[in-house]
Amino acid sequence: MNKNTPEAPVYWRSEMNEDIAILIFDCPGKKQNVLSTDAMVQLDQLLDQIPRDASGVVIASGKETSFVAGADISEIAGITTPEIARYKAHQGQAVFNKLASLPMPTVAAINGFCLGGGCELALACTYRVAGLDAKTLMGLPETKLGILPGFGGTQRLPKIVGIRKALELILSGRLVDARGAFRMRLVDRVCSPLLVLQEAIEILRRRPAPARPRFGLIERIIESSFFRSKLLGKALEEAEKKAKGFYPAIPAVIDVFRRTLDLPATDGNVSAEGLKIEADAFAKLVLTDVSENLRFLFFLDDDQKKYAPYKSAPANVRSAAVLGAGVMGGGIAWAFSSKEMPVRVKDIRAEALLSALSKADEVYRGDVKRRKATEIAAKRGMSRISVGLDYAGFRRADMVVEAVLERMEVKKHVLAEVESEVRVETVIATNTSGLSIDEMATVLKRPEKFGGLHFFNPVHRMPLVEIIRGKATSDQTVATLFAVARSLGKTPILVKDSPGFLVNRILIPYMLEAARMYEEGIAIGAIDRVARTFGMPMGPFELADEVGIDVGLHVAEHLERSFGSRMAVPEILRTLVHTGLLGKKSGSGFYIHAKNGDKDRPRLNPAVPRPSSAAQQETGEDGGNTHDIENRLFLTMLLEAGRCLEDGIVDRGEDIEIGMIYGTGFPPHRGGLLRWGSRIGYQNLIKRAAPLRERFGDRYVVPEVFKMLYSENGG
Amino acid sequence: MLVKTAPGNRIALVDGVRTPWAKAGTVLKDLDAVTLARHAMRALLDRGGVDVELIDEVIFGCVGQPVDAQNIARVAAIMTGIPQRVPAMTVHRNCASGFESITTAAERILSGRGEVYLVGGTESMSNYPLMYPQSAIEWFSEVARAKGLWAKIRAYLRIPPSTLIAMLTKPRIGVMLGLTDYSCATSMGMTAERLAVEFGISRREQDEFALESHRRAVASAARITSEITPVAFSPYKEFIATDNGPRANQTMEALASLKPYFDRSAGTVTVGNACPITDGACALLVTTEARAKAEGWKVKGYLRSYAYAGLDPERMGLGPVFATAKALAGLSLGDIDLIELNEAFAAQVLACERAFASKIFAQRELGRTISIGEVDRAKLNVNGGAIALGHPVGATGARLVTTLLDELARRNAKFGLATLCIGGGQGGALVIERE
Repeated sequence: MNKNTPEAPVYWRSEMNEDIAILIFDCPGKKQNVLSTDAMVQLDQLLDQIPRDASGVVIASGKETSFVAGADISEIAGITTPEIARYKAHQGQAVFNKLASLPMPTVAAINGFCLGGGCELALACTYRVAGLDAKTLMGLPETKLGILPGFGGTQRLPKIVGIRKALELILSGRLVDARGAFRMRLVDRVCSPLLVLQEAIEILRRRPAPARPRFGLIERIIESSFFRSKLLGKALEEAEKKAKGFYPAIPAVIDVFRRTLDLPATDGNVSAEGLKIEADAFAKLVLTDVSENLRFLFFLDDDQKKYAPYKSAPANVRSAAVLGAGVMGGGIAWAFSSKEMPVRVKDIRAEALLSALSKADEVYRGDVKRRKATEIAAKRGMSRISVGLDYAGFRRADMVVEAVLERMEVKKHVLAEVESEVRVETVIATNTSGLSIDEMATVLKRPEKFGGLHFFNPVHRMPLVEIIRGKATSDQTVATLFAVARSLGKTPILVKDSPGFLVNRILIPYMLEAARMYEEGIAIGAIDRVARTFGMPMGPFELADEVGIDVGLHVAEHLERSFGSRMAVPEILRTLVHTGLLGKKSGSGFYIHAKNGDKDRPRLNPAVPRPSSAAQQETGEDGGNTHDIENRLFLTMLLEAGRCLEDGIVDRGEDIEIGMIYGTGFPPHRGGLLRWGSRIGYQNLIKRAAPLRERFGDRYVVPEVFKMLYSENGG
Repeated sequence: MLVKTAPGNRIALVDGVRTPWAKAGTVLKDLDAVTLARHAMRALLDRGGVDVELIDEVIFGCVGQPVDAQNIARVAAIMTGIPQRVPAMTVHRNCASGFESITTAAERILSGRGEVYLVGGTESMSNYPLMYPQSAIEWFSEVARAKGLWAKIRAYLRIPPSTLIAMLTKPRIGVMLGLTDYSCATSMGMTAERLAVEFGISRREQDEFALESHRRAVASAARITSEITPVAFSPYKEFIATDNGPRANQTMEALASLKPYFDRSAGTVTVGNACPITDGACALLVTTEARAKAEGWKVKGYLRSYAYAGLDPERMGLGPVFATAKALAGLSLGDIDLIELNEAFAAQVLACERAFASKIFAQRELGRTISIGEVDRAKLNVNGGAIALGHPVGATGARLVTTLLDELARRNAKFGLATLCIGGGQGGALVIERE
């Protein structure tokens, strides 16, 4: 077909069904269809070849599970200047405009993923028909990559589903299934996935008026130009609640909408001026650090899904047991039950069992309230959790997660006990947050079936799981732990058995540094504010209150024993724990937490002892130097991450990025902790750390590993 | 009638577990029959470490099947996490539905259809419905048929005053209808009254029997925890772990002060000497002796023989006598070490005692030359009975067997008899043997 480039792979094939042209997109050698530049060029040529007397055109896919999964994201890396970006967008817009301007009606026959550029391709058609299949998902997730739909999506979507829905879809990047797409008339028709092509041809023969949402009076008023600025303002406010100003794509989308909604259509049902504005906005966004970072994470995430640091096949885990019904035990039980796995929970106290049950129930209730789960799904979820004071049911378990008190003696005792209550093939995992796996393994007869599976609190919200391989842990056990973590919807990283493992070892020094700054006289509020401005979901003191200061202290003391003075625990933490100020759970810690549904930000707790040095100052409150605070908080993190790499805690830098983002909420728009450091560069890092090292000593020594890591970026 | 099996391969009753029994409208009222059954099933499987993949079928009894859970055995099996490919059926023989689940499983096993059966019974009498009278149902369907808003409003307003009054004052009460015999239009309570008259059983005798039932149930509460699984539910503030029927402070004075409930003018049966309506579920695992050995399951007892028998519906309380006569199959009543005879009504149990011992009754009604035998009170319902514990109709049969299995083990005894009377004029009896 493409006689001019015979060696290029063929992406499209076309056939005629009587007088209807069917263009079939089928990327050779790939599972998913992706709109690469080559595929776009071939589509462009194919559109030119459509016989003028054809009565309609069907765009279909040769893949079973994807219509078009999107544009080729890896090509974006080649965009280095705004001119190239604008050119790329224009090129795509032109191809889709050609499709939209065909004299005969067109239809997208959608089965499977229809995302981003693929969705924009479908939007350029007269009609869309979607198969009722779980894999059929439609949406424009570009803002999640820090960009916006650049092939006419911002121009066509509001004309089809209305302004409010279009904004919601683009700003959230949310994907909708076939039924949802039909409800908002994003598609004209839904049918069995086996009948999609047939229905598409049918619709071309009958040529009904394209489906548009039926708006009532109120929707019509909301959509009217009179309320336009109000609607856009509200959408921006809603989106920024989550984005917090860190994501430039959000205001950019609003801006494009504001400037283009009232432009009259010129060509291909859209305004040429509007397309230009869209392309300009795309060009601006695609070159931002944020977009680059988010795309970096996208690939990182994708790779992590396939990451398999083991050779064995995992054992089949069909049912689980949890030992210890605390907050973590309850959360872990919920996690298993929500993924359709029966789980038995054992504790020595009936009250603990009740609290685990109510913890799981609470999560389900919340999901029902937010419509993330149906009433019956919640009921079935809870029905999978059974509890008891004895080891009944443990013989059925393929896997046991131990989540008892964080004390070595207690852990050893229960682990030895549980091993005699399970089958020989059962995998036993400990949810310790930092105690030695190898030491625990000494009491076991089958240490090869034992490893660490460290969930983070709250289990239902934290996507990270640290998997700890002890000296004796078998390859198959590691494989099984990875499979279980993934089946629970978590992202696992493999970590060496070392105090604090990875995430706590990096996070604790950051929290300790914050406490030290407070002891030096810098205000709690100022430190937390700097952390939040950096992009952390909460400041170090807010975090301490959230996890419990006693819990934090316990981990910190363990790290101090292992790593010495650089993890020295500031006195203030002990003082607070001794006076019973434990954080949120005791009602107050660094902050006072209102109990009864008060939504206000917690107030600073006046009962926290003032540091002596601060007392000498007039106000006792020092706002500190923002730059200095940021440096100390995050350089501390970065340097410890470097030491983790040197100590071989993880095999790959990627694990640190994943671990910090999914385990601590390190801001994704920064692309990860090490990536943030790489933007500073090696020379600057040395420069920034030097004065701190002079003031505070060895904890600000820059590990050698950065020299190699960052040398090419050295500034 | 003997259960004929190959040597070394008897029908094995591995274990039984139940929820606490709670008087209807009290602590378990918020759990439907499905959820009660699910708790019992899961506890049984957890306790025995039974792999759900091994189950061949689920057979559960339930008398007042919830309308939103038809074939409740299937619904409860799915909610318990029994694999979807495992079939499930609900059985109904009124108060013997729990028995029926066991004997149906035994028959399935004997005919070679399967080997591992999860059986039992469940009942939430708290959740029995109140129903509109027929006239109201007709009015509702007219409203439903009306097309358009105005027509609907007009149909609504056309309700006959008599229907409106009937809706408010005369709901049809599911529990009452369920406990009334269709064929003779007699309530279960009246069948007990009839036996009291026929056998000359005084009010005082009935109250004394009821008091003893409470005394025994209270005394055994700590012992029978082996058969109970604690139940917790949203908002998970406590575990319900004990039966709430038995009264430690029950007295003859209190019992005597109650008015007859069924025959208000001349009767002797009161709510004090009858069993209360109750919520609860009980599950058992039935398999073969050889299979249990192969799986490493410890078996509590074997089904030696069983029988069901029919009689005059108005004398349904004598059912145990008719059924036991058939079920003993070569044993005498004296060979039996323990008897669980369901206490639907004190009058009915006492009537059975007399009929068991009566040569005349045996000759006239059972076609035997001699009586079945004297019932030794020291062997009868030693842990109390339904008058104290309650009677969730579909589940009781399973409870009697479960209690019997545990008590036989405690006493290291050999033979046990579980028997009950069945509304509609039947009796059921199972003989269990150990070792």
